[in-house]
Amino acid sequence: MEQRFDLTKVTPEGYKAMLGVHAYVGGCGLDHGLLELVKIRVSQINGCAFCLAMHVPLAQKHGVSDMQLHLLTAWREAPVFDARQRAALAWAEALTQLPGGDVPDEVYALAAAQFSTKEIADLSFAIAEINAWNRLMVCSRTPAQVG
Amino acid sequence: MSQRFDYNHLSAAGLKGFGQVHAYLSQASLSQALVDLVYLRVSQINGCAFCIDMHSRDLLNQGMAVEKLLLVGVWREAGGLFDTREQAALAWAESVSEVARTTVPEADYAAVRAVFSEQEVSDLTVAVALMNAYNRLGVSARNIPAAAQA
Repeated sequence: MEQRFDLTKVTPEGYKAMLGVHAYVGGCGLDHGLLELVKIRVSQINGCAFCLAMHVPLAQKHGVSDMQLHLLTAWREAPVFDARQRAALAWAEALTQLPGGDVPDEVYALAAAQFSTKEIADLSFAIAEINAWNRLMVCSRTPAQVG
Repeated sequence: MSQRFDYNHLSAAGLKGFGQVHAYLSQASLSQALVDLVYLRVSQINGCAFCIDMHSRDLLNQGMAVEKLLLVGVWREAGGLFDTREQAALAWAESVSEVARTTVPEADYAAVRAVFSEQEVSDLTVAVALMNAYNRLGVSARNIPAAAQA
């Protein structure tokens, strides 16, 4: 599979601006393991190999277990995620898939039971950010770093 | 329906980050009119009322006829109302927005590259990715469109 275009060369200022959002999310105070779980789940939905190859090792680095990684695609039926992780994953899927163009009240209620309003806002930024990266990397066919 | 959370205040620095992507695009290779057209179409796909309101107003303020604005959602059936560049940009915006379903295949890339340079396609992709991000914030927070705030 050949790369179509290299964002870092063709759109360097745009790329750099996206890194600014990335820096915000990394420093917002949300647990890094939780953020990585969310980024992996979204990247699975959007089919972005580049992002999966990057975030799986990062998740492991931040304490996400192998079993959690194996079962992430079926997290609803898996016993290895706590209530906070489940609420975050439900929020991530709803923001990514936007069922009926909406993020349902039940999903918001789940998130609000586990996270402060600021945490929900920051989590939403993380989900918006990874959705953006997935599109950029899939479109450009940037090769996953699997070396 | 009321706003759930005000991310403008809660995550101000994060929004500023996306704002820099937005600022980049206003100086990049594509006309503002084309970028705004793409912003509107993406917002329609994702169902973000706040963004649809904002970008419809932007297009009207730039001089787009209301008859054309009304047909953005069905541009494929609008005869010659949308020119070649607009049609190519709208098709790419749709393919990229629905990446989980489309995987943005070679045929779609070939179609957009037939009309736009590599630089333009990269900038167009950043615009689509950015609006997909903004829409998710707006929909999840239940942002109230300007029209409903008066």
